[in-house]
Amino acid sequence: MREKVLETQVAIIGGGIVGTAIARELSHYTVDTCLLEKEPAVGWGITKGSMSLIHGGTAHFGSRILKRTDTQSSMTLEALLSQPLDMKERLGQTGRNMYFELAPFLTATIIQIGKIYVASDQEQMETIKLVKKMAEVQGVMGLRVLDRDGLREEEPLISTKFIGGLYDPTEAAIFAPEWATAFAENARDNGVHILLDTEVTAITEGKGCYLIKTTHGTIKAEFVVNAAGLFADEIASMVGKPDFSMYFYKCQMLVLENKGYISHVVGRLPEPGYPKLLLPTAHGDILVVHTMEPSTNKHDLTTTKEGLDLLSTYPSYFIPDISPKNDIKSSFAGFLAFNTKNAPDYLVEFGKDRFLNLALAAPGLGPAPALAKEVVALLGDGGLELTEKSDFNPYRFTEPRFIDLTTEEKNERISRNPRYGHIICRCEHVSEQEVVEAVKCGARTMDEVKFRTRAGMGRCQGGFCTSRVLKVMARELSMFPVELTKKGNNTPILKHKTKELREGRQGVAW
Amino acid sequence: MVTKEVDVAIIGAGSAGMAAALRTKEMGIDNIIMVERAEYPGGLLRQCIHNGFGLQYFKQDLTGPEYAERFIKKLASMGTPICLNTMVTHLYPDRSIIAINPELGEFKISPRAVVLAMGCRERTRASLGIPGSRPSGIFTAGLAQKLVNVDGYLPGEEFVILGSGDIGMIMARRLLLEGATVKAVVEIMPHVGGLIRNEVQCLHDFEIPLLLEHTVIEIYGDRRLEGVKVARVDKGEVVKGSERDISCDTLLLSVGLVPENELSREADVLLDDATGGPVIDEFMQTTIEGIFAAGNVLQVYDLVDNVTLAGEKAGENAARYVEGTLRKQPTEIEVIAGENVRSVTPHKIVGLEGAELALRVKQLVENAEIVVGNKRRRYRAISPTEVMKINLSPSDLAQFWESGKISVSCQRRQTEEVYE
Repeated sequence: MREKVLETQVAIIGGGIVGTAIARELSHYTVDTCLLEKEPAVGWGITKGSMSLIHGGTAHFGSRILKRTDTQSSMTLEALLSQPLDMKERLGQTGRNMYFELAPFLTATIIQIGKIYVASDQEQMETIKLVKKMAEVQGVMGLRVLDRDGLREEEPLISTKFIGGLYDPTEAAIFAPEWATAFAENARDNGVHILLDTEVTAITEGKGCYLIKTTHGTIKAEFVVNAAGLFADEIASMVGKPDFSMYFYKCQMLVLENKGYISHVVGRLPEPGYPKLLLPTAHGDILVVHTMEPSTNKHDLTTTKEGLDLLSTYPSYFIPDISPKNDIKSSFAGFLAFNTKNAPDYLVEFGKDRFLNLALAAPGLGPAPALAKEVVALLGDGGLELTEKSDFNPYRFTEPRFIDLTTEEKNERISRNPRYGHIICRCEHVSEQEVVEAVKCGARTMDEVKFRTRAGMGRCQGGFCTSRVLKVMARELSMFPVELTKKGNNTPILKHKTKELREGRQGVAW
Repeated sequence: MVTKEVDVAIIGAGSAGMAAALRTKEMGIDNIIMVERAEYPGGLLRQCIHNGFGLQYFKQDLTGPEYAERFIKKLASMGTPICLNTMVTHLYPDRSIIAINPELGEFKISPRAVVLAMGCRERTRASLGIPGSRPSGIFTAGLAQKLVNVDGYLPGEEFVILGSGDIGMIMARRLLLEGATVKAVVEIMPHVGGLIRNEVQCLHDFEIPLLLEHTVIEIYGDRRLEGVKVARVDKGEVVKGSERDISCDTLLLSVGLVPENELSREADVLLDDATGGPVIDEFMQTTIEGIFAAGNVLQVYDLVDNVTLAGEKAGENAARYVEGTLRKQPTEIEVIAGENVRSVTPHKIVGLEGAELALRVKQLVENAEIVVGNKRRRYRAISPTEVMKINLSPSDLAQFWESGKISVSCQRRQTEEVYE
């Protein structure tokens, strides 16, 4: 039997924040598009392990200062800061605004939390003032230099060793997988095929097309967008030796309960050896950011004792009241990746005709929507015919979190459907119906339900809700509970019904 | 929004909440409401299908569900309804409560007194900071207990259990009886965390390996758990060279319980770092007038019998508060945890009716003696896993009103004497 081949104009490889943003952008046009993602859901690679932070207008200065220290450049600080924006920095500035513009259309969360760079001596205060001046030249608005009292007004619990700071109101918190999902769902509603659990294994060139072999059959595409993130070099090498590879750092982070400790991102202007950031997340937690260890294993997201020990010293550097031991909810690791050719900037270029490589560099989150626009324009330049659809639907609707509704709204929903009144996650107050909705939107694993609803993300980390969520998922998916998984293949949660194992082993164990 | 005006609202229908409700009723207060977030009353008792409950309170050996059943039946016979599937989302300092359930929607309760009986939750992997990967197959012991005993599913085949709390040891036996393999129970302390009877009846009787002074230092497996690395621990440090891998598909954590006080915090109830629960007086009243607390929300108890007794006391005093018969002195006696006492409740004594102190020691003491003011009580041994109780009569307390302080300590006796 001949294998069925799916034909498409554009195949996007990788369903991270960048791939999904491109899919959505392309869905404005009458272009046949497929998005290929190897995981069971979009946004589960670098996107999921990111800080979920949309950097403010001053953030790129931080990276420049750090790089100057690293390379011991003799350039004056002023000269360094006044250099023109590179591609990544430029897209970062427009990308941030796009998130705010898109949020109401996509009903995705973005919270403008702002960032405070704290200073512990006069020299740092001077640097901060210079950063403010140069950022204002570049058009960043709303910056304020804070004196000791001003700093305490913004962050009352901040350590007394800080004498002031710089307030950048433009920094924002999102939950990155939520946005990847929003982009993907909006793209899907506008005709893009989203193929999950679909890993690319080989690519061959055909006549005016590429044949992409995947774990779920072959896709024939005129154009390929390589948005595979950390794996961009491996995908590129499937059609010839690329002139770049990806190098990356493993970054361990802690999630703490935010008992009113901070309300802005709090950090220093980067200096090696100092704690980096504490940031309030879109979910109301605190993220302790982060270790940075050179890595060569793209699958190694393990945390280490050294990493966790180091991180637990960070919070009290800024906020002495925090006790990581009591406030910790979770820990995880993610990657910061860079390309070898253009780092620290992006590398966005055709490796071959109609084969566009995106070998990016951290950060990729903030710039993603702006990068997507640029990628679509590049595809147009590369020969893709772009005709705007007249019926593009810019809306992707999700219900707001039930617990955040007014009493009237809650009771209206409960009277319509009592499952809204059944709260099955005690920490995050998630209703049964929200789990049902998550499944209806396509969640098939516990982690997807967790990311969509927050059930299991709270203090008890699923102690109360796991058994209840499993029951609802099994019912809604018409599956046996033992078939449900945490995150796809080979991650079962339950193994047997009781008595099965005992009876199967009779005469052996007993 | 529906508002329910009641005399006493009880948050939680576990062993503490049910005992509080019954006693409130018995005191003649009829207008009460019990709210419970789960689908059934009884709290954790329902999943504790092993025996050993009620030995003190009923002088009988009952299973958890049997123990709960006695209270559920009595509540029903007294016509006390329990609002099940009802989540309390807010508790304010004026004692007003916001709750949600499928029948009433979001509703308000305006009670004259509140009994906090929310119980506790289990400590998680994160709070221990065990490094490694994040596969499926890691559960708290209590969750595993619910999955096995209530839902009817086995979460794995080969288990390692970290921590020797009571639930962990009981689960070790339960899993073995289900045909699973329990490779080891790993305990960082030189003694088990739970009751000695559970060590004997659940581990030794079934030849389940118990690794004392060991802990899990790493977790393996990208997808499903593949194994853990354990090591010997000496004075808080991992002994180099003692590390070894144990393959398993499931890790259960039985590493302690945390009183669940998010609502208390919202109501501005002052909490004690040592117990994790509210600061209370001998009437079980918290620092917010009219809000009482009982059971594991207050401090983690060893036996359900003690939880029931605490619940009754809280219910009784909540009823007296409503009746206006709770008499407080203008001054109070602060109860201070002295030598080798990890925690003690109540934190202060405010009335003239005497008080019952409940305390936990820091370290195991043999030939021990508890000293409270001028009172001494002797014991063969006191372990940190037990809750010790000392009754103080009004006359025991009389001379401490002037200083406003009484200290409790636990030490080794100097002379050999008869023990109680």
